[in-house]
Amino acid sequence: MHTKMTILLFASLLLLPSLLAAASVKAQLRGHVIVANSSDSAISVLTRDTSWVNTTPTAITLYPQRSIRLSDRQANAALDHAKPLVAEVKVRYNSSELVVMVSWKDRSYSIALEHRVATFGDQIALSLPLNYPKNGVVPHIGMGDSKHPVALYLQKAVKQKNPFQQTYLARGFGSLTQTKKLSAYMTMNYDKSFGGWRALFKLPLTGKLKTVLNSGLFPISFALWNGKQHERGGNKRISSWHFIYRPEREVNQRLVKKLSYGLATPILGDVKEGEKLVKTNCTFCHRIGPYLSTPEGVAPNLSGIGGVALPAYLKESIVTPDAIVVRNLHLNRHYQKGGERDAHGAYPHNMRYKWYRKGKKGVLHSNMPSYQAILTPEQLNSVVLYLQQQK
Amino acid sequence: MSKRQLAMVMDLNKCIGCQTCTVACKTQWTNRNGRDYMYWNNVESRPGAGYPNKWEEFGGGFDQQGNLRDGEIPTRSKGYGDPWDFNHEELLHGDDFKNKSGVPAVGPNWDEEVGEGQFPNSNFFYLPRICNHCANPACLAACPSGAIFKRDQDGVVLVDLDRCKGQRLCIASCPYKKVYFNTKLFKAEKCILCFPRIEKGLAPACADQCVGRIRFVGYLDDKEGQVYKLVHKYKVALPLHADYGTVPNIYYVPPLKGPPKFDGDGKPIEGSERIPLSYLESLFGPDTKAALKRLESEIEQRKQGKGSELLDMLIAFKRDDMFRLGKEREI
Repeated sequence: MHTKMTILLFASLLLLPSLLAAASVKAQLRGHVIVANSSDSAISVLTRDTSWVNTTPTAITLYPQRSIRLSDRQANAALDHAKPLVAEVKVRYNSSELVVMVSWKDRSYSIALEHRVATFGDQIALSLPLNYPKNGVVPHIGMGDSKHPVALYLQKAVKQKNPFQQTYLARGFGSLTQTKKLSAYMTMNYDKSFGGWRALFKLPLTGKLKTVLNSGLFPISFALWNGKQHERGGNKRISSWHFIYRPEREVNQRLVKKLSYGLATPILGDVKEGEKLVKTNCTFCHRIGPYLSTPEGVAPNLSGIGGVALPAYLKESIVTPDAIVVRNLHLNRHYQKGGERDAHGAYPHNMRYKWYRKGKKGVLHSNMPSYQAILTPEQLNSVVLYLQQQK
Repeated sequence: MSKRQLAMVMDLNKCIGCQTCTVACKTQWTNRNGRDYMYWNNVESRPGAGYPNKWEEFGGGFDQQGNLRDGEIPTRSKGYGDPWDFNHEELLHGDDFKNKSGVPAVGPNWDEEVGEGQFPNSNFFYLPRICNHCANPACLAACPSGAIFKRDQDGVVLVDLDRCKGQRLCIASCPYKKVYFNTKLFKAEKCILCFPRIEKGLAPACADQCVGRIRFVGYLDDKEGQVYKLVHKYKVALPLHADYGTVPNIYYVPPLKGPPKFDGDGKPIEGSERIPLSYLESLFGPDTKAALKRLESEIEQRKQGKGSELLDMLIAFKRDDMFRLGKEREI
């Protein structure tokens, strides 16, 4: 009896650090942690299985993507009135795989039909960085960036019971490339009684994402498309980076600390002051909230940025814009009417709309200047606080 | 954007609307595998709604400042027109037309030869359309997947089907609605200017098969070529809707004014416009007047027994001279 008690006591003492760590990670990255549940046995791929029903969900909010604006009139009209959407995420894993289940309400069930040119299927995608935590940088939320590639898993309702499933690698807007190097088992089913979709992604703990999925804490982001609203491609709702936490694994506290800015504790700043600073410093290139005097496309649109970007990233992009360089879409979306036309009359790109330039050895530099020397640390906090509240 | 640019000139005064080009294109490229509904080449009657139905109202292209404009994608039922079966048996015995999905409202070539105005003062002309292989293609600029490209050697605009994600923003942005969605492959497809034929020294199927010899094909920088002469030397060939800002590379010799209108007594009205110049200008731009004037003066010159290089070209007496693809025919 005595021995048993000792063993129990000993076991709970062993568990204690990990429990403490869990509380700490959740507090540090408040609202952005998805705790993964371990399982000893095979994980069911049936979303109505009791093992899934009994798993605690994490609510994730997805916001309309407004950084770049595409050119479909109907989709854009819907986007202007699009509201955030809440999805429930459950994550379970065992020794060989990690399974992510996402449920979201969508009353307007929509599938892309054969022989129809203007029907769009509801879609869901997961995005995971390829090199995390190796380089410790969370990629840009817009499908990664030139230095930080992401893996994407996409499911689209194409025909009933036969969804379209693909895997991609990407390094930012316009770089999505299909790959066969990522393997996953995926399902996507419409649940009428729930009034929405349930999608499941079973990712093997081997292969290209081995290091990422086996680490204690790694980023994941979600995207949802409402086909009825003509949503596809960039017209979608996206979440900010969230972090899947595997309690039994080691977590790099340094990285957590870096990301915790503005999440662990509220930013000490003055929103009014931040707004004033944004208005005078940023709106010459960026559109944001009520400040829309700059044409679309000169720089990423910052409307709703607080919903999709982490405060640590917002701060970094103001201080060191070169850390993550976001490439814009095709430069000829904006051509220069007065510019010198080529031999066949083609107008040159309008360089006012270029977000980056190429430096030595092809390294990309952001066209945005650093504001480190321009803003005081207090002002910087106020600006980030204002941006964080733009949802 | 490209080193060279292949272009086509179509002489609208000679188009008889026989649709041989349409059939040539369809049998070569679009009669199978989800392309069945597409017409990469179509011949529409103008004035008229065209194909896809009222395509000019779907938006796209570039605005005055050179910024890409939003556009819409046509639907099959309202834009392209869904196919239907006739109730032949009943129709034969005097019944009305019936159709399972209701009476169709549009279809390809729906308003053929309807034109405008009342007999005897009605008018129409044919307008064959293919992809314009624009110098600033709106489809290319709009594609978020980087799937559309313009070939360096001839400026042909193509879709890389491996990169295409079927998002259809090219369709929304093409102001001519000449990119189509393959409903089986879920990819965008369009006129390829028969590049496999061009590479073998053959003219595109639509041009090769044209019975009216209305189509000239050649490089815009080839000063000996008829395309160059029609576009740049004589300036009688004009792009369609240059106002859409995509710098199209298919050019049209606008239709001449036609016979005069008739008054109530059936007498011709001197100086009347059967096809109003303003309508032609809405399609081919402000240079239409000068182009027509040039054509008329050359015709006058010819009537007086003088030579005219321009009319010698337009009459297409030597068919081989119409296509200059920079290489010998391999087939």
